[in-house]
Amino acid sequence: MLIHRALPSRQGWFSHDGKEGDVVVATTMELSRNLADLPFNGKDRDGPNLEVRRRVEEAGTALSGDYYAIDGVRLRPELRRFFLARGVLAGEGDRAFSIVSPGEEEMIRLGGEDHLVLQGTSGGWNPGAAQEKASRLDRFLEERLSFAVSLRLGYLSPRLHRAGTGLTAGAVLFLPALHQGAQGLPRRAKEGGLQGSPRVMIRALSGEEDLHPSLYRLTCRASFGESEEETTAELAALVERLVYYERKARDLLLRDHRQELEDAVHRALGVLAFARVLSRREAMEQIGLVRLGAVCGLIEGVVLREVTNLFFAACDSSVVVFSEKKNENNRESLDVPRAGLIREMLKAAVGQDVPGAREDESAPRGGTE
Amino acid sequence: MKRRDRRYTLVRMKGKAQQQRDLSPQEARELGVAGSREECPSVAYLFEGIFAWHRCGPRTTRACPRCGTTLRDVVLHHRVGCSGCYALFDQAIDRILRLHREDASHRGRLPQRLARYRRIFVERERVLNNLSLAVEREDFESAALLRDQLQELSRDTPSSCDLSDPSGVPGSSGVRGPSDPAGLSDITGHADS
Ligand SMILES: [Zn+2]
Repeated sequence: MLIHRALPSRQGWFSHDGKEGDVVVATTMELSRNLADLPFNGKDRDGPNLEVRRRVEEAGTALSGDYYAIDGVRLRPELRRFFLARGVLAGEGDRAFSIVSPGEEEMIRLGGEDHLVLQGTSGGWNPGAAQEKASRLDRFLEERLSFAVSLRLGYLSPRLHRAGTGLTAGAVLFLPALHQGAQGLPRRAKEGGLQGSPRVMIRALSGEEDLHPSLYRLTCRASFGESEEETTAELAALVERLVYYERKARDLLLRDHRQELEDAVHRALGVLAFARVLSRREAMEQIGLVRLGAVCGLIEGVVLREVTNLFFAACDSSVVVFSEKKNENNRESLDVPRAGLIREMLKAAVGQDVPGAREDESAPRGGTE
Repeated sequence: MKRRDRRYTLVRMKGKAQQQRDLSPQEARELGVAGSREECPSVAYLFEGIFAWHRCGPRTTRACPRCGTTLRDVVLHHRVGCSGCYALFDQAIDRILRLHREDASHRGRLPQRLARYRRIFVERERVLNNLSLAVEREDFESAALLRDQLQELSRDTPSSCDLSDPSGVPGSSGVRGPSDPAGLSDITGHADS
């Protein structure tokens, strides 16, 4: 069933537990699809999206279970920014339209380069489950919509090199130790060029604004002639290496700078628990430290997914939505409600009290969830 | 020198051999070598485009009747405007897609209703190919095996009603019959199918 209501939630696709959850926040599998009898979306993205939308919406009414229709056109601007920031809406354009499952683990997004993107998400590292969710949407829609597809070339796309499976396999990673080690190294040049982006990309996870600098999105796009399994295997090899090296970097950090880290983590916890005014930048920094402390085993009893939620809650758009503040232009005015929101949410993350520090040396590694 | 007096020559190096061909002013314009100020594609892509052009010949001056995309858009930007373009510019697209992998073809999943057609058309084509090769080199043992495979595949051919009847499901309305097995015009829902 399709419910036409956009209910902002403090949880989202990033709030699910899973394997390697200390490093991998979520695994995403996206399938790009286009309708056969409509022109593709142009570069300027103002193609015949309304007709695509009408058909997808109609098909969506047959979905079993509750799904929410998030309509970029009808949303208040602050809600639109909210859904954009967490990647539920495909773009700022008025034509952006999405259908999402309650936990945001299944999404149908309209308004990007392809007519529609079907996304399956699972918490932690679990490509199989994410792929299954995306495929379920795919199988459901192929019964009702006419996808542009060729026996020889696979699913067709406005970009030639995207023809084939249309799969983009991705993972959202939290790499604070590696990020710290890499500081000072030149960052990769921004994507660009005429013919599209490189196949494997890692970039800061961002919506309307950058979230924490240690949150990355790693994506691997299928190239023509490659099966879904091959793309996923390539991503898996990269994720496995990054998880290994992040843990290794964390071990080094703990070995050489345990005291400083412990101090920083607990200070961060104190700031988040007691501050009355918090800028976005400062909030992100402190939340990052708390998550790092949690996965290093420096603070006890932390619910990791609740800490991850804080990253998204600290965004301006979330503060506006949750504090019912209408005037987002005045950024300073958000710092007080932001501090309040974080204080409240932190209670869920660490229990009612700010916990005591771990004193023993046998800190468990990762997998706190 | 005035622009219209310029001449463009396409030189293709293959090992030590060298192929040369003069481009007409119109060809040069179509390819974006001359007269384009809107964008400046990289040299490598330009060459890809030229070779795609070289292979496809003059028929590709056409524009797609549905979306207006021209061969120039396809070879320079690697973009098309609708699914019909894939059929219209099939050769150029083939050339572009196989630049990095000669034998590339789709190996992933397909809509369920199409998956069996792939077996019939694509597999059949492959077996037929191997069969004629086997006959050519008088390898009758392999040929017999391949003929059996072919018969097997023929038994799988869907009934005619299966092909023509989309049974109210638009998902497979564009699938064509066995008379068009090459898979070039197998794009579903193609407007003039
Ligand atoms: Zn076209």
